[in-house]
This record gives sequence, structure tokens and C-alpha cells, in this order.
Amino acid sequence: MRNFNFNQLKYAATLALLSCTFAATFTAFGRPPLQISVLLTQNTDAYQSFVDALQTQLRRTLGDQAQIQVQSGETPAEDAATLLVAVGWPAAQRVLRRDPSIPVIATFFSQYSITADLTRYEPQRLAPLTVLYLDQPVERYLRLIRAALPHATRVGVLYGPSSRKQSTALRAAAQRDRFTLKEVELTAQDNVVRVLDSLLAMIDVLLVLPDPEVSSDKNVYPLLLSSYRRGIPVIGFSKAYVHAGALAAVYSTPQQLGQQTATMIIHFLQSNPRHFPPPQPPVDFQISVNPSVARSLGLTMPDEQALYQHVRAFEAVSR
Amino acid sequence: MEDQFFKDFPIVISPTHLVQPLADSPVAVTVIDRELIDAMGVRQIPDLLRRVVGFVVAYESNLVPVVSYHGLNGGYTHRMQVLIDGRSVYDPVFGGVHWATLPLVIEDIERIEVVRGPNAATDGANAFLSTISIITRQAAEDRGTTLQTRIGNNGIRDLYVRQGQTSNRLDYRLSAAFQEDQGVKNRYDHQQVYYLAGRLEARPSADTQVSALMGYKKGEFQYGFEDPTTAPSFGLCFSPHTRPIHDGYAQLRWEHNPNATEQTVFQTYFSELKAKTAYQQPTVCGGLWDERTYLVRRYDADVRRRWTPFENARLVVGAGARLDQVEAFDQVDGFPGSPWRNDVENQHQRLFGNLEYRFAKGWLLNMGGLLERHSLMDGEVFFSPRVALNYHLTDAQTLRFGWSRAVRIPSFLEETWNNDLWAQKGSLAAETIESREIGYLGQFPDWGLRLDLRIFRNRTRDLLNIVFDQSPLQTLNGGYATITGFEAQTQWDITSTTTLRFAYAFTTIDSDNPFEIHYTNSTPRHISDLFLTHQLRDDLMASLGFNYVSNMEWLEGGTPVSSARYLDFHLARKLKLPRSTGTIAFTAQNLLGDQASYLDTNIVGRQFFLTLKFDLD
Repeated sequence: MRNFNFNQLKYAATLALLSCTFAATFTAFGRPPLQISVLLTQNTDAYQSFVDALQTQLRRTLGDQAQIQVQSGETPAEDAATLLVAVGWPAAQRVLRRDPSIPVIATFFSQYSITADLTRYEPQRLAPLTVLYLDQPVERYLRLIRAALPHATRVGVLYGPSSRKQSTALRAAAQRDRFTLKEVELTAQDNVVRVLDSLLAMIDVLLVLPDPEVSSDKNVYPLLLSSYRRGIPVIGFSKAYVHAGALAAVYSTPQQLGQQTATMIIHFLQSNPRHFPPPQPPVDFQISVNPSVARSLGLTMPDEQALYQHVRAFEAVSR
Repeated sequence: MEDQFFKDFPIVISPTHLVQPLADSPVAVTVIDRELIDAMGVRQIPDLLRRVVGFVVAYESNLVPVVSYHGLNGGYTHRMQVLIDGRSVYDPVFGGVHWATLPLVIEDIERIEVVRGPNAATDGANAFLSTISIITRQAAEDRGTTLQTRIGNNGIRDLYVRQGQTSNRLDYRLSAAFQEDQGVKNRYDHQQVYYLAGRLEARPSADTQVSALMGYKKGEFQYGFEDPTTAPSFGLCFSPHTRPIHDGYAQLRWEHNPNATEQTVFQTYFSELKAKTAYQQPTVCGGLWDERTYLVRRYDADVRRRWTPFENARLVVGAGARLDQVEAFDQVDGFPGSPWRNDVENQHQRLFGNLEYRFAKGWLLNMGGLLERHSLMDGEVFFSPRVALNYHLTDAQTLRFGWSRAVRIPSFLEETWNNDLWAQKGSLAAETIESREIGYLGQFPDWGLRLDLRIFRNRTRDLLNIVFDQSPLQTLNGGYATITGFEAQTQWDITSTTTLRFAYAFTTIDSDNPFEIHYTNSTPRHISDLFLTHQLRDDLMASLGFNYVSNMEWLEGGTPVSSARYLDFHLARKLKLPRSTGTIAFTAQNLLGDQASYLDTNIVGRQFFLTLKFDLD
């Protein structure tokens, strides 16, 4: 029974089911092919992996029924598009401003970043809109901490101007999971070394939530170095964070996000009347560990797969 | 803003910055980290080393602090290698380290790793009885401006200023200091030291770091005895005089870390030390003065690569070359042997490698060695191997069996000086050591206890003996010394706010005492150290240190000294000020009063000082 709660399986099952339905529907009524336009903000590797995963997943489900058009830069979307996928906040802004009558899935940005304010666009829109955010639910970070560092009880968090918006959720999650939360704020004027100095003395682990100020180029290096010198492990939000010196991180890969976007599209096409699932965080995720950092901090830890299973199991139980 | 999720960050924790867990180390290591340095509150670098098991710290004078491990030495510890950020500061002329003039101050140190035992397999010749590796703070750790002043008895007056900034890909730090005090009580021993250092760290890409480091120290040291006619001084008078010393370096380091297990480091540096000695011919100290100047230049380049050649293994290999050039000359003529000039150099090349291999569950084999050649030794090639086997009894307990060999090569003075004072024959052989040890490391988290125990036997052969009780002085090979002992170092976190460190070393030396040099007495039989830290409040910390050294004899111009007891106290309070933070601290050193240090006539007294520090953003 518990296995069915695993989101991965659930989605796989849904996809399989939908595939059959679609194949049947399109053959029977010979509807014109769907036009799906994907607008990319950039053409970097991350975006490319996202698109690849999205296309693969859609083709697998819809076969030739959907025409997928990928555009990057300023090119306007096809007017005839059934649906737009805006990847990255700049692309999302353009689409929201220009195409109020085409359904939009916006993704690849943080819910909490200061500029990403969807409410400004929503009232003017005629067609539905949904979002797949990049942010992991805060509970997931805490569960990673529990799984990786079972003895850690005091969690330090360094809020910046945008991650501060997660404080309510984080406090609630920390209380639920019986962590003591030590919170410190960092503004653009602050010296990250000084701010950390007092925090590091009071905590077992430092959690770094996505925030452009906290993880700015000038802050990441001293942040990781000071924590390491004091023997405090850092939990981050990307693979690069782990590579740079964090103990572990939980994040979703562009492929996972591409697959989830495909699922959302299929959900939309399948629904009657057509509607989107609500804005959501990434369902599937990955965990990375830096074994060298673990070793030199004197930590014996489960491997990445075991940690993933742990966090998954936590989520299953709490759902 | 999606950037931060998928972008690269600069590699902070690269393999070289990574601390090898003590349980995996092939040698016994004691670490003094920044926290412990702050807890001690001392102002001179050698004082930090009192907390290392088996170490003895004494002051011949302000100019010549002495740090010794396992004896066999006088004012210069010929058998100890000292590295600062991988840069050797071992003076090839006298064969030892000038602690007083190291271009470094405590404030810029991040941690000190002390290898207790030979380490020539990694660091080459003269890493003989121990190696002290000092790691300075990176620029990124010191953002903002810091001002610090210190004032105390015995003429203590210090000033320290630091400014650092970090930006996207570039960090810098500048620090400057001035230090002054009167030193040993009954000596002509005033010191005045000026220090300037800077470092620049650039990260052109996420996996590459380039650092440029520079530092300079200039000191004016009074030296001599108030009454030179009574001082022990092998037929010479050290009448009061002043010695200027200049010590500087420039260092460049390039580091590439493509992934967590792979690294390439290239490092090159230049250093220059200009020092002076002076003394007076006796005729009950109305004689002629001789001033001797010497200038040492060192050029060094080193490349090393670390990777995982096969599963469960880590391999590091490297190569390096060094040129030491010395110009030494007398500035006053009229002595027997004057005018004297000695220009000499040593070209040195090295190759080394170490394999760390986990060949079975719980077992770790460290195997390596260093091959080196010195032109000073007529191109003779030396090989210093090491094998160590670590067995992890449990996750928290480790047994270590180690065997290694090392060499000490003669200094320029020992090999080449011929003047009114020295009559060296040259062609000296290297001194060798063979070391065996069994170590135990244990962690007991439930009791907050950490243990580091070891027994060892070090056999040295072909000792290089500086024969002081004859004139002219000479260095001759001969004799042996076997050092046997036991060391225990423990740390006990009694509560979350109280920590007790305890160290005890029992050491004996068996030797044939060649040329009537009392090697057998050159180490104290018992050394113990107790260091207690207590956090009274969030902003208030106190520490108490007690160091006991049983009686011993300093060689090469030193004398027998009776046992010494040092009691130190430190209290520091953090201050919160508008737009800045600070610390006010009181330190008392040597609270038990006068102790004989290095010479039975040399008296080190009580010292008290107040330190005030402000950190501005």
C-alpha cells in the first residue's frame, strides 16, 4: 500500500493511463495536432536537458499528435499554440504580458525570488496559468538533515531578502520534526563572515535555502569556508553547492522538472473542461553528498540512494 | 534567478584544505585550531606550541625563542621542519627556525598541524623529529576591517590592523602589525617588530584558484648580557648590542580541482632572510667587535597531483626543486680569519609519492617515500620511506603501526664555515633516524572524550654534533641517540561549555654522548600540560593553562635548567557595538613567577596584558 504513495510510481501509472486514453481519443476523432510552444530564457545545458526530457515524455504519451516548438530569446510565440511553456522568469514575464489568452505553464524560477510576482499578471489573464517552482518544500531539507545527521537537533538558517519568505513554513516544519531553529538574517550590507560567526557557535548544521543574496558569488565562498573551519556541515540546494563543499543537498534536476511539466501538460489536455493542476513544487528530487567533506568532518553517513529512500519514506508517511 | 539552482560555485573545500581525519593519518598529529588559539590569547607563536604533547618552549632571548621536541638541540632546533602554507621557513645557514622573525603574526593563523615524528617521506630532509605546518587564514575569512591594540607590563605594546574584502572572483587581505616588549627579565632583550602581509585570491573558474601571498617582517632586537663577562659564551663576549633582521617572501599558488578526488597544485615561492650576529673578543670585553651579516635567498617550485588510481585508493605524487643561496661576510676586519666571506649554495631536487589504500574493511595502508638530492652533499641521493598501517577497531577507535626513516643534512654553517669562530672540515654525512611507533586513537562521544596515545622508539645514527667546548668550534659526525617514550593527549568535553585538554609525555634518551655532549639530558623526562576552557556566558570565555617541564639540559651554549611551571590565564569578553563587534581580553602569563628558561641565568617573569579588538564591516 505504501508503495502507491511514492510519487514516482503514481506519476508513471498516471502517464501510462493517459497515454492509452489519448491514443484512443485522437485516433477516433482525428482532431488537429496540438501546438505546444516552449519558450526558453536561455539555451544553456540546464534548459536543454529540461526540453529534452519534456519532449521525450510528451512524445511517449502523445505520439505524433502534438507538435512541439522550441524557441529561445525574444521570438514571439505562435498565435495558434494550444499551450505555452515558459521556461525561466524572463520568458514567463514575456509570455504573461503578451499572450493573455493562451494557457501557460511557467517554470524554472523560485517562488520566493523578489521579482517573481505572478499576482501582477494573473488578473489580466483570460486563459489558465500554473507554475512549477524550482524550490523544494522546506520539509524536504529537514528530512535530509534527519536522515544524514540523526544527532543534529540545532539547525541554523541564514535568511536573505527572498528566502526570508519561507520562515513561517520552515518554523512550522522544524517544530513538527522537533528541530531547534536558529535564524539569522543577512542583508546586502552585511558581512557574511561576521553574521555567521555568532550563528555557527550555536548550531549543529547550517541550512542554506536558495537566495540570490545569501548565495551570491561574494558570499558562497566565505560561507562554506567559515562553516567548514568550525566543523559545521552545510546542507544546500544544488549539486554545485555540494561540489563546492557543502555536505549534502536536495534538488530537482532539469530532467525531473521536464518530466513533471510533461505530466502537467497531459493533465491539462485530459481534463474537461481543461484546467491546470495548481502551482506546485518539484515532486521528484535527487540527493547529492560530498563524501570527502563527510570524511573530514568525521561523519559516517548513508549513501545518496539510502538518503533518498529515507526522505521519500518520510514524505510517504506524512502524506 | 534560476541561476543559483544550476550554476557552478567555486570549490571551497578542495582536497588540500580538507583535513585528513586523524584516524587515517600515517603519523601522530596534534592540531591547534583557531578556536584553541583564541582561547589561549597569547601573542607569540611559540607559546601556542606549549599545548602540543611533548613540546618544550623556552626563550634564549626575544631573538631566539626555542621550540623543541624530543631534545637533541640548543637554540636552533636543527631537527624540526616548519612550513607556512607549504613554504619551508627552515634556515639552511644555522639549521633551524627563527621564530621571532617569521613573517607572520598569530592573528593571521588559521590552524597549526604538528606531526609528532619523522615526516621526511612527505617534507624531505630535516623533517626529522617533527614537522610543524602552519596554515594561514584565507582572505575570504577576514572580510572587513579589524583594529587591535594590546598593552601590558614588560613593555608590551602591540598594534594590529587588517583589511579584507571579497568580491565575485577576487578576495584580498592586508594586515600590518607592530609588536614591542622587553623579553627576558635579566637580559638586554628589547624587541621592536614591524610586519606587513598581503594576499590575493582569485577564482577564474569554479574549479581553479590562484593565490598570491606576500609578507615581510623587520625587527630590531637587542641582544646580549648586562654583564657579558659572567655569561657562558665559549670564550666570547655578547656585550649589549642591537641586531636588525629582515625576513620576507612572495608566494604564488595555482590549484585545480576538477572533482572531489582529483587535484593538481603548482606552487612557487621566493624568500629572503637578512640577519646579523655580533660579539666582542674577550680581553674581558674590551676586545674588538665582530659583526657578521648573512643573507639567505630561497627559490622553490613544487608541483603535486592527487587522484584515485583505483578503487579505495588515493595517490599523491609530486616533484620539486629548490635553490638556497647564502652570502655571509664579516663587517669588521682585524680578527684572526678576517676578512671572511662565504658564498655558498645548495641545489636540491625531490620526487615523492604516497599511496593511501583501504585494502580490506577497517584496514588502511599508507605507503610512500621521498627521493632527494642536495648539491651541498656532493649530489648524494637520499631516500626517506614510510609505511603505516591503520586498523579501525570500530568507527571510533583506531590502532596505528608506523615505521619510517628520515635524514637531517648539515647546515651551511656546519658544512662550510671557516673563520675566527668556526673551523669546519666539510664532507659531513647526513644524520639518519629510524622511527617505530604504535598509536591508538579513540573517541567516546557519550563521555565527550577523545584519546590519542602512542609509544615510540626513534634511533638516530651518525649524529651531527656541534662541539661547543673547544675553540674554534666544529661539527663532527658520530655517536647515536635512541629516543624512547610514551605520549598521551586527551580532550574531554565535560559539559557543553567546559573542555579540558590534558597532555603528558614521558621521554628518555639513550646515547653514547659523543664529544661529551649530554644528549641523554637534552629532553625533559616528564612534560605535562593542562588546558581548561570554560564558556561563562555567551559572550564571556575563560581559560586556564598549566605547563610542567621537568629538569633538562639545553645543548650548544645552553645550560642545565631545573623544572619549570607555567600557569596562564585568559579571560575574553565579546562586545556588541553599533555597526561593529569587538573583544576585550585580559591575559596573564607565567602567573607562578620567575622561571629559568634555556639558561639557568635567564629569567622569564610574569606578564599581564590587555587586548582590545574592534571588527568593523
